[in-house]
Amino acid sequence: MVQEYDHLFKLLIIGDSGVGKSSLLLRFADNTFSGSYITTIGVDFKIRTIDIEGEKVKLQIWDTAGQERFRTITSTYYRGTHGVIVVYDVTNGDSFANVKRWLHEIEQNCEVVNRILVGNKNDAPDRKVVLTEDAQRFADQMNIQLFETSAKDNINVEEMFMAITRQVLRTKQEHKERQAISKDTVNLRPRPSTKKKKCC
Amino acid sequence: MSALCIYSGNCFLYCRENVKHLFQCFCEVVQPQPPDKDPWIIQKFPESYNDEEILKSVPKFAYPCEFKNSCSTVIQHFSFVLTSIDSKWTFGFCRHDPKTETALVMLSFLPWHETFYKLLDIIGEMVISSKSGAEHLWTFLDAVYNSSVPEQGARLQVPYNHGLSNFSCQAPNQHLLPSIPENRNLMEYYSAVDSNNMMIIFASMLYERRIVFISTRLSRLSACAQSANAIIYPMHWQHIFIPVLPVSLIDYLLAPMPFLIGVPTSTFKRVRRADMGEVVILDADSNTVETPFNDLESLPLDIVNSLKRELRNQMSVGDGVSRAFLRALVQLIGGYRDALRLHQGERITFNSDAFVESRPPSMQPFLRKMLQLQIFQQFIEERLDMLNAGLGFSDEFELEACNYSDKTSRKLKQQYKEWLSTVRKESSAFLKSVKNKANPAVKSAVKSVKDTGKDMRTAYKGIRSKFRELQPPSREFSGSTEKDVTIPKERPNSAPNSPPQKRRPATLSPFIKLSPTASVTYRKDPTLSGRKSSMQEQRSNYSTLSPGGASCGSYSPPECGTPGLKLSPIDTDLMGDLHDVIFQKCSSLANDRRGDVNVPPVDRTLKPVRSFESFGSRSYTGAASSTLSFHPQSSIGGATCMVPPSFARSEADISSHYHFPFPYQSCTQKAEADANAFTPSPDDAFTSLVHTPGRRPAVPIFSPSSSVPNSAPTMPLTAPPARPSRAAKVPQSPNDLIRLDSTPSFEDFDPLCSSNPPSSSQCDYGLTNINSSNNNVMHKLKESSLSNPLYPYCVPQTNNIAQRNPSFLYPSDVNSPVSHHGTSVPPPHPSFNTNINQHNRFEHQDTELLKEYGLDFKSLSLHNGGHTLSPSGSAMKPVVTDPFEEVERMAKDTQQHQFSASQSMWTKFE
Repeated sequence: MVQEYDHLFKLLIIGDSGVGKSSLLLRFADNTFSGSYITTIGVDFKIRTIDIEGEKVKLQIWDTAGQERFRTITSTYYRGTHGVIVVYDVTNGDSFANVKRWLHEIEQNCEVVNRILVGNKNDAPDRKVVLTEDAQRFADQMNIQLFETSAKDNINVEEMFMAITRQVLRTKQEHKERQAISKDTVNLRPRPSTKKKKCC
Repeated sequence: MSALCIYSGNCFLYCRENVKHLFQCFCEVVQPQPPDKDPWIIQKFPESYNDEEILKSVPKFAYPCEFKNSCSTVIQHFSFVLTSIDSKWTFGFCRHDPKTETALVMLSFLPWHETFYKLLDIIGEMVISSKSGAEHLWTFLDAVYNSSVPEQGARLQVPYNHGLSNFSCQAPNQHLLPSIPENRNLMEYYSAVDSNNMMIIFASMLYERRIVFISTRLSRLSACAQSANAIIYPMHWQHIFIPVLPVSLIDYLLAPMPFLIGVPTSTFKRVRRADMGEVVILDADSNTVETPFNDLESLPLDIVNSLKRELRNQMSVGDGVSRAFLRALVQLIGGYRDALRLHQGERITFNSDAFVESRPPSMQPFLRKMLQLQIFQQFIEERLDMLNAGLGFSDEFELEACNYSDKTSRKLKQQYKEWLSTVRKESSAFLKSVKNKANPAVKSAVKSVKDTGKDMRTAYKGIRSKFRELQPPSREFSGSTEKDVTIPKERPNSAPNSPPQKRRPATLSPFIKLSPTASVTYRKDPTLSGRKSSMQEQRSNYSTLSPGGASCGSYSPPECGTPGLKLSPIDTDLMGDLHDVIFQKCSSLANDRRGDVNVPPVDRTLKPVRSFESFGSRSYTGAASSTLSFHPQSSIGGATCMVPPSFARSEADISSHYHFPFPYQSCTQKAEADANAFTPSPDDAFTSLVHTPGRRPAVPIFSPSSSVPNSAPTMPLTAPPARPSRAAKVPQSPNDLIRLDSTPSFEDFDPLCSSNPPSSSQCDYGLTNINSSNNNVMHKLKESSLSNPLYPYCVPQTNNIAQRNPSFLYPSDVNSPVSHHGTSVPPPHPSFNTNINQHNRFEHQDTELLKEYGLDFKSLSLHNGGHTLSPSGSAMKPVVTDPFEEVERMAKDTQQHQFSASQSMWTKFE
């Protein structure tokens, strides 16, 4: 079987319901034919293949229902993923509060997962309550990238996905190099297992 | 279902508020026609159901893979789960009849597998039977759809076939552990997968792996997935859960997040394993597990070993399997209570470091990982929410946890109490004064009692033997036998590691000092003897069914004893003996003095008070009474008398109070019994009668308590945390109208269970019983009543039992004009004789029960002696004939005070 991609990355998109995760996915996805199953099985994913730095990367972006019921999202949730897209709604302060809590949690649990912060619905300045400066300060503090997007107007969506993909790719390459140095074997999906040993 | 049900552990995910209909939609789905025609819905009911997303999905789930009728000649049931955007589950129950080309599907919010499979069978017959069936079918569906969802344990009956047949189902008790064979899912899981593989899956779920179940049989698939989830109770799978995966959704097996997905074997063959990464695969057909992890091995060794042992010793019937896993979880996470942090004025929090460090070093590495589990985090969140809301939670898990460690519960209780009591300082002052007054009189009384007590031993023994004879379970009253059978056995068993017979040392309120001598003497025996007998009985009755029966012997007594007292295993029951003597005396007196106005009132008042104050006692009393009273006819409704006019007063307070202090789940039994009684079992007129009177007794206590604000905090401490013995006991009483043998249904107690049948529902929250008794107040109580947050299984039993007991049928009390269920019971003329007898019995039983639970109120009273102060002074002023009685009364008073205080606390808290 011909491998139609060089890398398969599984990303996770998290955030309260209503912050526009599905819209972001729709904007980004190759095709929308498959419909959405998040309302029937509580999980959905979209696929897109992109070229980055000459590498063909297949992205699976996964979304699950009802995350807002979690005060904390624990590391097991991220265990199998390469990166996490954390979305809040710039017009909704609560959604930002949740996101902050989750990111702190990830930090505390020494997760080495790639992540990116996304303020969606950045298309109605008069309703914006999460100021860019606040979000940026927080992002800097967490040492992650911040993107303010609008799925509705298709602003910054592409850039955001490219950024996280690049990040994941870089991490993978670094990891590969490290592994190559220390050992000859290259594990296709090294992160989860090593992470686990390290952290927990 | 009420909002409370959110908190129910069992149904956190799938439980929805306000489920109005038994089912949401019924669909008949035409099977896919090769080569490429998808399955489609040919008809549905109600027609108005229009959730497009779900309707689109149903056919795929009803025919999740190529369906060869040839491969199954039998009718197959299976279920699937749909998860909505807010993570709520909708269950789809399917029936495939190889003789037809359609599948019948019921969509419901209720996970009642047995009920819906049965319903589908009836529908299936209708569909097949005749052409006119269509009309019948629609009429029938309409009737089912529009009948209200039965409360837990209640029955729903819908006639069909021109009234010739009846569809009848009993609402499952969601808080019972799944048992074999009643639970079809567990049965299937247990028969398909050996215990070692079950443990591996259990461990994998604890590690939140990505887990795939495969089987060629859809019924097995869904049953295994459902059971695997049920087995990690009180935790709940928080991730993707698809018991049966349609082939069109095969790509979802690539999900990177934890999941539990059931995949038909044919579908699974089409998956590229490499894309899936590390998954745990259970082949339920071949009983094999494939896992890249060492999850089972990395569980703490002793827990795995004891789990193995329990599973090995398990008989295949009953809830032993479920309980074995529950115990393992108790050992792992039951200590969460040690890590609760209560600060005045702040929310209760969970200290994860403390949680880990409080456990043995061997367990700590795993527990640190445990902190990183979503299912554990959610578990903690749930419990904290309940505590912070002032809601109690009572379930099998807490019970087992209590059994496992009394120390913890004691401490926690105390802390929680303190936390709750921020406001009530006045009350404590009051208590102090009470205490001071009481002492000297009490002491002397106790001494005299002690002296007399020894003579009574023989008498006591005689009673005991009688006891045993009476053991035969009174099944007559139990409408639903199945559940009853399974549960009772479990109760008595304590977790394997549970400390032998520790009593809680210092739990009592700081104000109360115990006199070591008195307390020691009285405490022991009754408990032991009572328990023994009960256990024996239990064993004999249920031996076959109860896998856990073997463990009865090891069963540890409820942890909390009276503060500072240690239980020494003594065989003689002085108190019991005393009671007997007193009883005899009193009865003779009573005969002489019949019609004497003064005496009877006293007894009644005391009675009720007593049971209440003693905390768990109120339920105990009832239980005790039931056990001990051999002559129902003679015994008179001391219980009935109880209804206090003033009771209506702070119901809310009372209820809250109850919940809290009482660790005992025993109430559940009562509750269940009550429920049964109240349940629309028309045949059972007797039961209902019984109930009415029984509930009253507790009431009187309240009135006094309400008036006097005391230090409530003390009360909770006294109550023993876990009292497994209760279950065992209950079955004993032959006289009970209510089936005592019925398992204590936690559901009843569980706050989560929203369903409160008007009459019986109350039982769930310790207060319920009381409420059910007629007062308008009662209703209020219902609403306000919460279950004991820490120790759910509590007191209420007494009342219930008392109610059940025929002796209580006759309300002798003047004070108790109570109408039950609309029926008003005229206050009977108080005959002194009867009152006394009953009173004595009551006391005797009470004491025994209390002792069993480590509560020796008499001893307490000695020291505290708050006799005179009781707010309900007039009523309380009894003519004291016997020193013992006096002591008792004092104790009651004290308790009342405490009680009231606690109530006040609660109110404020709320």
